[in-house]
Amino acid sequence: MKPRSITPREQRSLEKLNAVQREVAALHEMKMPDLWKVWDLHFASRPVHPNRKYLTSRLSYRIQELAFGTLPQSTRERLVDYGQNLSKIKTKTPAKAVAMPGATLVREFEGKEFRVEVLADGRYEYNQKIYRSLSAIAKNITGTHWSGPAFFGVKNMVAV
Amino acid sequence: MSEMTISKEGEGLRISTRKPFKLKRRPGIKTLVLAQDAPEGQQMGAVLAKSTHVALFHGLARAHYWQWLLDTGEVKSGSEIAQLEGLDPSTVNELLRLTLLDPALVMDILGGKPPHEANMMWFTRNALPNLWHEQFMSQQAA
Repeated sequence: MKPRSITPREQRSLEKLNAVQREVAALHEMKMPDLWKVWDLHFASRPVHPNRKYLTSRLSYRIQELAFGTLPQSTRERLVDYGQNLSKIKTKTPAKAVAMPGATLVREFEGKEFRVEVLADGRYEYNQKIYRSLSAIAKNITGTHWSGPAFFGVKNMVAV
Repeated sequence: MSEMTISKEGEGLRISTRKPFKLKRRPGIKTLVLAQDAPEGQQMGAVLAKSTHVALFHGLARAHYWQWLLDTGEVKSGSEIAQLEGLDPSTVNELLRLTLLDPALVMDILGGKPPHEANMMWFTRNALPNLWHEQFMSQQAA
């Protein structure tokens, strides 16, 4: 079963909340062998240092993901990218994050200050409009083509 | 906001003005924000609030990265992460709890609207309830 997109908190039906609550409560009643059976249904591998609390917390999360939806894949990937930028553990696939959501990129150009807000979904807000790329904003400001990350000084930069 | 002082200096007068300002550093750019005409969202309180959001972003990002490392089998356990990051295992476990946060709340945090009083400090000191609808409900009652 594939989790759907997130149902906002206030739109979750009482019925579903109760069902989820029952399912989660059932996990706490289970004996370990049964808990492992449920685990294997949802996860490909077992943790190295298992403990009951960890198993129930991840399974509860999974049950709720199926009921109320999960974090969009793109958001999750971006978080992983940001996390890699912040981490000492490096993997083969380098992170491509530019700036953390909520950051404001400030650029002065021809005596005027331009502010671009990085949004949670990885897009950018400038002048109350939403853009998919920094280059589009740079073009809007300068009238000519610029590399957006270069224009805003975030090229080859670790996320802030 | 600015204050002016006039002092005698030899033959003439020396006038100096003081203006409170704040230097904002960004790679390649340094912006001077004057206190009096700082745009909304750049005033001290807002800046402070923003920095606590940033801590939470960073926490979420690291937690998701570590969980991804665990899920893909790049590392075997939380204690291995702690060793590689040079952190205490309990710090790693506290942060990993952030991956159990209701995705709706995660989107709120990423959108700059974190639930009331949700900050890094709260997460390091409190165990997150497993049930999403209980997360940050206890907060409101308190």
